[in-house]
Amino acid sequence: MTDKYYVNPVEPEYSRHKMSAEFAALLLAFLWIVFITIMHFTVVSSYSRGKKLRIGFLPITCHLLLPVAMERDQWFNDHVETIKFSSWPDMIEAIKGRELDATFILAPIALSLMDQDVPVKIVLLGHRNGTGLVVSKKENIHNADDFRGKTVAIPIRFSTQNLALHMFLSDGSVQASDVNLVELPPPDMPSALTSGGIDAYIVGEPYVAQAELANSGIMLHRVQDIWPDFISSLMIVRDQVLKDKKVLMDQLIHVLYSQGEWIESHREEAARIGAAFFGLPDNLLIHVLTARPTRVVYRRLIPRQDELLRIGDLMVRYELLDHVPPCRLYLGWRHASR
Amino acid sequence: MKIVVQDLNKCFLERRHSIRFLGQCPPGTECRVLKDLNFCIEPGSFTCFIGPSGCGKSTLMRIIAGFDSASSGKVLIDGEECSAPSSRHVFVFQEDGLFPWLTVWQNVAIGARHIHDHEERAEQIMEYIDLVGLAGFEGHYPHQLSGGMRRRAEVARALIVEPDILFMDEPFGALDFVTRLQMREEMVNVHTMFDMTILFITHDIDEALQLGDQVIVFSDRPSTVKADIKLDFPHPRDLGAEPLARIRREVYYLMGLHPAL
Amino acid sequence: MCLPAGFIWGGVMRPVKSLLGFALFLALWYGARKLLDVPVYMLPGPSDVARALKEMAESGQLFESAVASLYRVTWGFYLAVAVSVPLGLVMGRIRWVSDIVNPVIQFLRPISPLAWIPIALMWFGIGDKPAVFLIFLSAFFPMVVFTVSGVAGIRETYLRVADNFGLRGLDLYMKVILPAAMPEIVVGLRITLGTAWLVIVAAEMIAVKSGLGYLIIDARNSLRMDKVVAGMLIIGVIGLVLDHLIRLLERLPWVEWSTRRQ
Repeated sequence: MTDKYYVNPVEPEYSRHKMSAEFAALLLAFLWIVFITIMHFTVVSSYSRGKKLRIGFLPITCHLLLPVAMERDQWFNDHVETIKFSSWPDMIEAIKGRELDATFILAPIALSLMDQDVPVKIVLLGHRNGTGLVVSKKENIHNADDFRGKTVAIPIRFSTQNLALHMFLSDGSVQASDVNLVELPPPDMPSALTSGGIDAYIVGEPYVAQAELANSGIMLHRVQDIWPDFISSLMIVRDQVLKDKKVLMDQLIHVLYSQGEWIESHREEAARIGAAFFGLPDNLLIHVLTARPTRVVYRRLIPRQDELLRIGDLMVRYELLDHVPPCRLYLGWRHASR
Repeated sequence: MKIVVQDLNKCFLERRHSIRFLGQCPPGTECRVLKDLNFCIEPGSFTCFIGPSGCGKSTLMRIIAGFDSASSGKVLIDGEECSAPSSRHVFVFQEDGLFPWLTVWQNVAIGARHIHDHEERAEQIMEYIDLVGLAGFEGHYPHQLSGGMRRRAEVARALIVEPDILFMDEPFGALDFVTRLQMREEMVNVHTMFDMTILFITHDIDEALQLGDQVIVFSDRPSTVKADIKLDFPHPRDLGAEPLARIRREVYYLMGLHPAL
Repeated sequence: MCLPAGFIWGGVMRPVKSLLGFALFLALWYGARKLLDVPVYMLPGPSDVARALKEMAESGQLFESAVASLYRVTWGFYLAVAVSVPLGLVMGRIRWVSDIVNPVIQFLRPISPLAWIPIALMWFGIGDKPAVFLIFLSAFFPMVVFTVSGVAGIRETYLRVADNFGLRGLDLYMKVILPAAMPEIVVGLRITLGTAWLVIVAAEMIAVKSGLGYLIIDARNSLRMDKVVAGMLIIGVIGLVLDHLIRLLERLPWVEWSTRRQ
């Protein structure tokens, strides 16, 4: 083995050490990043940052207008890109960061955005009613007084659900401080009720129906019993977009508004569309939409100043805001109501 | 390279509580390590420093190499005062100084960076590896070699620099007895082959007498030169024969030891 | 034929033993479900999860999610390493740089990457960038610390030898400092990659449309616990594979020396 080098001792450095292991490792690491990047951009559908309007939503029945429009309206598909979120805070960051042109969002959040001088306007409501106060079957809860000392879940403090719960409790002369309020993501509420982690919750559909179908909770009150013509989510648009894409925006409001009318007359079909799009079980949404016509209502979706100011008043009363912010509406609904 | 050391002194400011020098130098005081050293080393000679451990031999070596400075006095190398380290002064340390992440070949190449021609460099590296008897092991990593082989690779790395002065600080201290004897023999051959000045620190009196053209014996701290012995004997040397045997006995007595040990 | 017991039990049997562990885990899972009679939406059983896995594999969702997550982890992790290792090497060598930079790093280090989510969304919008940024943060600070400590632990002899042979500048870093600090850096890489993989799931629960974290959050929103657990399994498996891959680095000569040195 030594002889090899006596025969030809003049061997250049590079031939003796063809490639160092470190260099090979670096090369492999480089090839990997090239590979995974190419894979990512071929396999994974990414956001097309085109000229389309970008609208955010959450998979809840309050935002059903969007999937129905996607299913039924070609104009909508040509001009709008929908972006699914899984939490309200992310959505807030996105609209503040101008990643979204418009979004469906909880009414109190919209008001607090206006309070923070975020340049947005309210253009449309998501739906009316569609919320329920659910209590565990194991607990003996029949009226507001029974809520003393119980644990009750709300989706987020800045929600009309929270305000409605406060109204309900104060009607029964129960202080909010007598009840243990917890914020919980809506999908977790039914299982938390089953496991006994919470005693009751107030939330939008379909998470009321889920507890009903699983037979773990009963709806104590429909929200409209507490707050007639209840508003949960509404759609806000950035001022800049209203200025730059006025015509497009007006048309969009019109399209969405007309979907509401269609849903009212095709409830089961709309439920199927929503279930497929949100990835929810069919029977759940069919139950929500068809059990009772007033359970969720897709009429009267035009925002009204007095209703929103009332929400603002309630927010001030329950210490979510210091004062009622100027309520900024967009009159594009004139096209919508045409 | 003729090395002249004139009136050399070295003081340290003792900062630590060191058990090793307890009682000698209280913390915060100046502690003299080297005291009034005067000696001369002939060009091309093999000079051994012996003395008790901690007496400042390594410090002296670092001063001569320019890595450390003297408190007073001077070191003249070929008549010039030396102040900065030079790449022509190469050390072989007591501990393993080979880079364990490089092969023998790559380690030796560290010393061959002054050769710019690619092919010539490769040729030289192989030649020096061959010289220390490691041909066939150039692709091995240090941990795959025995202690003696690692020392030889280090010597090859030092030699390829073609240093003016080779500094060896107890280079064979960690080797087993037989390997040490072999390394001694090889060092004699190396010195014969390359006409360079070698400074060699050792604790082993026999090793110093076997190797050195000149042996300088240091006292305990503060170190002074106790003896400066010229040995003009051919290799291999028989330490049992006169007059070397007599010199050996004297050095043993100088260091406070019994030669029959 | 006489093999030492240690060889059989410690060598050949090792993979068998870890398989045994997984079998036990599966049995426990299955048994617990049978005994306690929990509904699928509380805890899906192995067969439900297997079905969900098959469904997601066939639809390509699984592959797509894994690619998206790996893409983000790779970029975040690479960027972090590319910045932190050179910075750590310089900090380990040059005192005043470390005196200035180190307090800031020690201050930012204990902040969970998840605490940066709001800022990440503000700065980088939605899509891959905020997730990559969070991974970067999760890997950057520990990697600086590991690199600095790697440089600080270099044996004095190697630095003296480098000095003696006149190694300076880039040569010094590439031939001595980096390989000498490499064993510690690789330990850092291994731990940090694990953390990055932990963080990606959380990072993908914010506004992205793809990835394993999104897969889980989406499955949860659509009330599919079987898919949630399937997603968790895939995250575990990929994490295991990543750990094994990065451990291959320990075999590099620049790293192996530290375990072989007598």
